[in-house]
Amino acid sequence: MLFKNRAIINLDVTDSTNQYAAHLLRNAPPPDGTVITAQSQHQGRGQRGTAWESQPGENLLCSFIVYPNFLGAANQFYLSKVVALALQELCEDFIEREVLLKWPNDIIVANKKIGGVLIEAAWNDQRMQSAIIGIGLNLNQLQFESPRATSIRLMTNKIWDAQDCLIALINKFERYYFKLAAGQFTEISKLYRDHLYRLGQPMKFDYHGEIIDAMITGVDEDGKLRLHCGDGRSLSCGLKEVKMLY
Amino acid sequence: MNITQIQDLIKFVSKSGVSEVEIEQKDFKITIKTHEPVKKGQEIHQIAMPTMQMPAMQMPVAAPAPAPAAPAAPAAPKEEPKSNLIEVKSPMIGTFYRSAGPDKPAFVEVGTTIKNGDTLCIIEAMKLFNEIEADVSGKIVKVLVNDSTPVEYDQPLFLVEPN
Repeated sequence: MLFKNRAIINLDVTDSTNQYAAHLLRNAPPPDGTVITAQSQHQGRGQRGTAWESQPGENLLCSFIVYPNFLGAANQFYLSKVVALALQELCEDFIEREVLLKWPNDIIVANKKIGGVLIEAAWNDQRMQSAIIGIGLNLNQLQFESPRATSIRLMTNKIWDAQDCLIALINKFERYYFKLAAGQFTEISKLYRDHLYRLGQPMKFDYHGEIIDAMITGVDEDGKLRLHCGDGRSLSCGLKEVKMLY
Repeated sequence: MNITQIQDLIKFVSKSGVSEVEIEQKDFKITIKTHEPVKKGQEIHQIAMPTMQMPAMQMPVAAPAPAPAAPAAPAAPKEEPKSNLIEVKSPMIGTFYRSAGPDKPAFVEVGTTIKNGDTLCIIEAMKLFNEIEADVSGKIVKVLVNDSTPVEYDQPLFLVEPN
């Protein structure tokens, strides 16, 4: 067990588990690996204010608090990779079919999103001093407004226990986080690339407003998406530069 | 032409080896002059943009701001920050945000007193939201980057007058 003293904090309802974690970090930093989970959150968030669609009690919502001060700017994206890999492996165990990672860290099954990650880190002196890793996994929800969303239940026709799933996720995450702490970057990158959604498949992208034909060839060390274009160009794209059209 | 385009233009001119570029549009003129000989990676320029609008520009630097240079003005070294001011630099490449969300107040403004550990800004890199904490104590004298714009590694973000 990597996180010897970590706590698991179960909440019925909170604004968001990430906000609760941020409050804890500000006031009384908890032990490394502490997990906060909630039955429902009324201000669940995707990135910068986008709402996260979740019905009370139906999904796995949690935040991990870790202190990865072994990470600098050059290798910070590995934290995203290991979280995504832990979730991917968990989903694959449950669903028993291929689960993929849509760059940078959405979890995809049958072309639909089943989970997402929101990481908020604090930096001082060029090192990542703490990180709040927010995870939302669609567990038992049956109805979604978006046609591009699904749940473990929809994929398996079974009802899942959120607490059991949390324990399974904690075990997966701890194992991947230990690889990260041990500096096993090559293995992590290989696993991430092996599960990258639409790797090597020609498709259309919106690149700075221009529609281009390209295919994903991998991800750079710093997390940028590498594309090989139909016209021969090779691109390395940040999140706001490119959008997958699928 | 926005700030990002100007920054890109400066980088382009810097790398191209030319000594002067002048662009004039109907209500906008910019002259970028480099020193001779241009060294690789050198980024010292005099920018003259008398009619350029500067939205979201912060309060003047503690030192007197230079008068707008006439297009024909000779190239002069970029004004260095006052020696007692500390530059807070970006630890990474990403997108600079001054607040925690679109409807949230800025972490710091010009004049805000900061101490070690206070959050100054967020730099988003590949969906990782990085709060950048102060490692100095003092007062914010200038915010050097506009909200929601890309920043490079080591790019100065704030000028701080240390305690």
